[in-house]
Amino acid sequence: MKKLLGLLVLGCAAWFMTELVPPEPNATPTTPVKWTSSQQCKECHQEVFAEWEDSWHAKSWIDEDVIAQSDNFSNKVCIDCHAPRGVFETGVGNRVLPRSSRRAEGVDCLACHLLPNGGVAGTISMPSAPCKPEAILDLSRVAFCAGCHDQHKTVTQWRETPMADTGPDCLDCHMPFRNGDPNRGRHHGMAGGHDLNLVQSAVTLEAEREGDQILVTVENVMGAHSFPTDERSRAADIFWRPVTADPDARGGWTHLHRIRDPYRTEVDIPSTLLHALASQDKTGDSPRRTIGFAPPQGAIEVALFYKLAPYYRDPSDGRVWKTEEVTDPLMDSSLVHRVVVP
Amino acid sequence: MRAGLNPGQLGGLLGLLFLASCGRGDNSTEPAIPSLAGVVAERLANLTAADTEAPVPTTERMELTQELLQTRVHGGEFRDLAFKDLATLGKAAVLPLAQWARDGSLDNALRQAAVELLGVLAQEPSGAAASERLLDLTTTATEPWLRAHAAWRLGTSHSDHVLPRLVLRLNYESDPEAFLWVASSLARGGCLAGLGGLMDLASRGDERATRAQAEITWIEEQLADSAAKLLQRWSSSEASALPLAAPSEAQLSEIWSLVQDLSGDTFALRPVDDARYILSHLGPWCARELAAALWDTDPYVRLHVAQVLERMGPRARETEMALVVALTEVQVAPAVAEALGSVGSPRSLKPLLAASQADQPHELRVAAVRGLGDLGLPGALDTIQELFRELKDPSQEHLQDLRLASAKALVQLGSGDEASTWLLQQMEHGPGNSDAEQAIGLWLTKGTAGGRLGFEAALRHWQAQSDPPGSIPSAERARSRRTARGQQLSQVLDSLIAP
Repeated sequence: MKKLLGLLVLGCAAWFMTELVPPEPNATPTTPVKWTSSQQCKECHQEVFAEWEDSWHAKSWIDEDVIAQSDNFSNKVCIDCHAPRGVFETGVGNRVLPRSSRRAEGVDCLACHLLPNGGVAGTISMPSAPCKPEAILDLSRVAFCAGCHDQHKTVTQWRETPMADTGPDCLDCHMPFRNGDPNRGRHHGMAGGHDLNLVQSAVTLEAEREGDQILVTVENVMGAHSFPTDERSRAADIFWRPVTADPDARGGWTHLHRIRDPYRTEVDIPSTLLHALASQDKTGDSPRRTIGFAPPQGAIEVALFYKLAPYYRDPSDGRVWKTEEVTDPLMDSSLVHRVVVP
Repeated sequence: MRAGLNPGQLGGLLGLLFLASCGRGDNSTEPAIPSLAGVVAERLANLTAADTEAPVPTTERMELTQELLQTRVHGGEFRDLAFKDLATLGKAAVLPLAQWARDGSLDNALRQAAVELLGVLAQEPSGAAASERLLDLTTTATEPWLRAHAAWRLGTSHSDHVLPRLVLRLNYESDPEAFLWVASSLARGGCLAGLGGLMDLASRGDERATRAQAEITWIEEQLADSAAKLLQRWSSSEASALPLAAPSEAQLSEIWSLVQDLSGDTFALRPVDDARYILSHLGPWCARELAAALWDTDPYVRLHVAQVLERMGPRARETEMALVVALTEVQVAPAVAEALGSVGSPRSLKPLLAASQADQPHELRVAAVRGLGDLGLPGALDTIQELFRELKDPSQEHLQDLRLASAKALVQLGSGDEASTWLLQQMEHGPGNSDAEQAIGLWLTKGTAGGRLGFEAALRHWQAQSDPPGSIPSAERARSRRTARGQQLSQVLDSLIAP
């Protein structure tokens, strides 16, 4: 036992000497590491790096949908947020500036963690670590995400809800603690619209018969921002079809309603976003919408499909379908909910 | 802000600035580097904006204008008299007319007459208020015919302050008729940004094509050149020589307001992008103004102005020295390097070569190499070739985006053979695969144009894999396209690059 205690004391003393005692003034200073690429973070932060590498932040430059919608970034307004310089360079809550290099790394480690002085922002200060992170509370603020994510008004939508006062905020839903344990740090996968479970939890779909009509009700129940949030890219569509013997059969669908905020040049298209549940108190916008239609006799099924791009493409040749002509939405979307009306 | 360049880096660039300034024939010495200053605020303070105010109409005035409009439309021999009476109301008629023009409950002939009269008032020396309302109708009216009509009337306006904001309609107008008149009115105001669109409309062979052609003919007569040549000149450094109207002080004030929109005070990127769009589609007079803003205290202004000049391309040639000097400003230097490549001045070769050297920040090097590729001058070839070879070393793995930029530049400089194998690997497996794919496409196109053996067939196979017109490839489709292209090209690559 004494030996163990002795080892512990020695260990603490060694740690004290190396970590807490300042270096001799005439000690040879080590050259500070210059952080130029996220690849430099990989060696020490393997778990975080793997999460990020698998995230859509990491693919913000190389994702084919982004390439298509930005015309391979000839629409240069997209570059600012899809390959940003550091958030701290222009200040939290401000716009980011575009990078000229390492664009394929997308929204990388440096975009969030690099400080203007060349240091690294983290959630705890650790001078002994190679990157010497400095605890910066701003990393967890909603304003930190706003520089990019409010370009499509997501943060503004959240601010209009009472959640701005009570929470949850961006990190609670999109960067939760690993396994719910604060000691394990936050997950850097940044789940969002690509996560079908998250999308399914955000919205409900109901349908009932009333006389000759079927009333379909779709509701944004997640309440933190509009469904879908984002301008232009994201969309959700409601389709219906007569009940088929095989519920997994493709095709036979008829388009009923689209939920989407149009791009700025789509001047003739109205915004049909489902506003946040809790925003009723502040904005009066309803998160619930009912659409009626009169189908032919017999049981029907109604389904909500979620889209990462506003158009429907034929997977074989990329041909674009008019939404109202689509009969197989699954060719370019994900099924969120389906209900059967007898 | 210049602290980001160490003394060695700064010295190297300054030396090359000196070289760049030599040979100008005006005994120039090393160009002075300006200090950052509140350029935008100062310009705006010294320019007088157009007086667009108009008196709020009384009920009587509203009724009077409506009666006169009724007479104008239906009044037989009193038609011209009613028109004259309306014109004498001057500014006092502006808001009532704008309101009647917008009122969907009125007869369209009446609304059209209201727009017609706004057009007449816009021809007066104090017609800025009427021009402003015509622009408002052009921009926000829901009925396409009304937008078209208002845009047409702007073509005879004497107030050019609306011209920059009219440019934005080229990006947003969805109705071809309204677009036609926006483009025409811009040309009449001295801005040829819509000429290409007019030519496109004229080629469609419908009824509208005749009207578009008539406008083109008018432009050709005024500027004494064919439309195709004019378009070419507008997109080149020759734009300064075109006999276009000089901008009024009111228009310059508009231009600087747009520059202000580029600042960090504007949070949303969309208005920033709108301002960028407008400024980059204006004439060389705009570039001359913008050069000063490269030294504004706001880093957003500096960077976005460099982007605007990049998009203007050779039309902004007069700003070449200002851009070369701005290469020393670290926050904006990468954007400036790309602008220099696009503006295309031979004088920027040496500063760009200096900016591509290993002692410069990586961000700047990548941009400078892109700039050198766009510049396309053979004087860059040795440096780029050397860079491409150096970066082959596995220890340089972290600089692969620089290697991709140099490979693409080699293609642009006509020496893409050396990079083609590596580009093919990048296209199939690398992170910058769409850039690599574009570069190979360019290499094949250049080889075909140069009559090189086997290139024409290779390009044909390459193009056969292109996505059908109007299609948008899914990720899966893009991957399979690249795989197919890669497989086809790898079969013939050795024969294509054989000496």
